[in-house]
Amino acid sequence: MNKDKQSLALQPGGLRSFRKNPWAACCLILLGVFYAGALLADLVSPYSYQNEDRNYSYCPPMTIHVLDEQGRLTRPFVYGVTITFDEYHKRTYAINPEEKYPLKFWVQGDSYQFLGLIPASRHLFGVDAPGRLMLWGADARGRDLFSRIVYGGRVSLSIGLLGVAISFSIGLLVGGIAGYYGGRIDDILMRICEMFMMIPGFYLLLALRAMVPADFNSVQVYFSIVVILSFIGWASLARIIRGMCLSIREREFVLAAKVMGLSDFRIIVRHILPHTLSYSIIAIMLSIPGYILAESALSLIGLGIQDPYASWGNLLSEAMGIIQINFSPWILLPGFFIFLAVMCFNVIGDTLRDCLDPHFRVDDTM
Amino acid sequence: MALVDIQNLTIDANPGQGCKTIVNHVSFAVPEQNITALVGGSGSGKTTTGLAIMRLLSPGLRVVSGRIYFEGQDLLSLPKEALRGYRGKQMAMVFQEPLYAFNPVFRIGSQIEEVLQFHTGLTKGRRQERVEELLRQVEIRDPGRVAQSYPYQLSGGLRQRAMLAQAIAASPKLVIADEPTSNLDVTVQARILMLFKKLRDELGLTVLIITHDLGLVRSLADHIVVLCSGEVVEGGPVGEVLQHPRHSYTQQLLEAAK
Repeated sequence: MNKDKQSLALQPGGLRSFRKNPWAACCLILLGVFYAGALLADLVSPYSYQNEDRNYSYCPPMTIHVLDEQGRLTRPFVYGVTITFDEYHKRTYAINPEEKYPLKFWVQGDSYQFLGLIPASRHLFGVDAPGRLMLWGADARGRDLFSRIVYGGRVSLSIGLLGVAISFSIGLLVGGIAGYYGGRIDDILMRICEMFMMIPGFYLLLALRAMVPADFNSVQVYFSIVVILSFIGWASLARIIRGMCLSIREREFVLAAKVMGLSDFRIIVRHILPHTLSYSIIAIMLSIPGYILAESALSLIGLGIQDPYASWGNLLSEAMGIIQINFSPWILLPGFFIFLAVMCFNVIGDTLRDCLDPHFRVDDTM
Repeated sequence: MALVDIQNLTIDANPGQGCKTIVNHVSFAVPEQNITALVGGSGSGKTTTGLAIMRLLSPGLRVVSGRIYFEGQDLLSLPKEALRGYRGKQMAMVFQEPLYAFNPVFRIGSQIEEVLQFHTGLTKGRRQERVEELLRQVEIRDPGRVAQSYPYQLSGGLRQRAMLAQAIAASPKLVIADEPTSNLDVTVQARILMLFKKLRDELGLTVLIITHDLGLVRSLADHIVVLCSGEVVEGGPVGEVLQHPRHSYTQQLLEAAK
C-alpha cells in the first residue's frame, strides 16, 4: 500500500536504479555539491568575485602545509609569497618561509549579503590579512580563481535550469496545442518550429545576442542570455511533444474529459501533457548541458557575462592565449568544471531514462 | 415531455470522398426521467448517435442534416463555448470501459473533483466532501479509499460506479451510457442496473442507454429504440415492443437473446 502513495512516474524502481548505479549516485552527489556551493558562494569562497590584488597577478596555486620546517605536525598554514622579476621581466613567485598564515575557519573578510538578505562578512575558510589564500591560483588581475569558480557556478549552473524551465514551458505548450488541435493550427505551429530549427543554432544565438542593447547591466544581460538560449531550444521539443499528443488525444480519457465539459486548455495541460512526463524529464536532464555549454560559448567569445562578473565560460576566456596556458595552466580549471557538470547531467539523464522509459530498457532481461 | 428530441439526424463518414452514411434520417425522443434504450447490432450507428448528442463526433464524421433538441434548444446550432455549459453540467456520458475513460495518472477522487471544480463554485473542502457523497450515492461502501485510488487499482464494477459518480457530479439531467455493463460479470451487471434505476428515481435522471443486450433492456429500460444499419426500425415502450415486435430485425434480436 505504501507503493500507492508514490506518483506513477517515479516508482521506487527509479530511485533504486540510482542506488544500484554508484556512478550515477556519485554524479548526483557531485551536482548537489556544485549547486550548494553556487547557492552559498559568498560563504564558501574566501574572497568576493571582484576582490583583486594586482601584486598576485597569475599567482600559482598555493599548497597547504601541515608540517613545519622541523617536520612537526602543525595546524594547516600557507606561506606568504614574494614576487621577483626575472631577466625577461616575468613575475616569479617564491615562498617566503618567514611568513606563515594559518588556515582559519570562519574568518573575517569581504562583506556580503548572505542569501541576499542578511549582511555578513564571515567566510567559511581563509587566512588573515595581509596573507592571501590562492587555493587554485589567481587570474591576470590577481583575483582568487577558487572564489571566482564558485561564483561562476551561480551563473553557469542556474542558466541551465532557468533556460530549460522557459524553453520546456514553451515547447510543451506549443507541442500540446499543435498535437491536440491538429489541422491548420498544427501546420502553422510546426512550420514556425521548423523555421527555428532550420537556422544553425550558434548563428541564431549570435544574431539574437546582437539585438540586446549594449548598455544592459549584468543582471539584464544574464536574463537576456537565458531568454535567448530558451528561444532556440523549444522548437525540437515542441515537435516531439506534438507527436506524442497526436496519439494521446485519441485515448478515451480525453474524450471523457471533453464529455465532462472541461476546457481545451485544461485538457491539454491536465490530461495530455502529464503523459509526456517520463519523456520530458529525460529530455530536460539531457538538454541542460546544452544550455551550460551555450552560455560558456557565448561568454568565451566575450558576448556573455561580462567581467568582473564570473561565469565558467568567461573565466575560461582568459585561457585563450597560448602564453597564459603555458605559464599559468591553472586558469583552465573552469573548463574542467564545465566538463564535470555536463557529464553529471548526462549520466543522470541516462540513468533516469533507464528507469523511467521502459522502451529503452534492454539490460533488465539479462 | 421529451428531454432530448432527435429529428431526421443523418451522419456521414468522410464527406466528399467515398461518403458512407452511418446514421440515416434517425428520429426519436428520449422522455424525461425515463430510461431509454438504444438497441442495435455492431455498426448500427448507436454509439455515433450518442456522441452526436454530445457533439463529440470524431473528425471524420459529420452531421449532414437533422436537429437535436435538448429541452427545446437545438444543440447542433450552438457555438462551441455554449456547448461547454451543456457537457458535464446538463448531460454526461458513461463509457464501456472506465479503465480507459479515467486518466490513469490521477486518483479517482481528484478526477471527480475536477468536474466539480469546473462546473460548480464549491470550495476545495466542500468539493472533497461532495466527492465522498457522490461515491456513496453510487453505493460505494468505502468512498475514502476509492477516492484515493488510481483507476487501475479498482475492480471493474467499482470503476464503473466511480465513472457514474463522475458523470452525475455536476447534476446533469441526461446521462448517456454507452454499453456500461458489457465488460462486467452478470452479478455486478445486475447491481449496476439497479443503480441506474435508483438514480433515475432519486435524482430524476434521464438515461439513454446504448446496448445490444435485450435482457438488460427488458429488466431496465422504459422505452426502446431499435437501430438497424443506421435507421430506426422500431420504437416505443419496452413491454409493447418486446411482446409484439413488428420488424423482422427486432424479432431476430429477440431470437438471438433467447
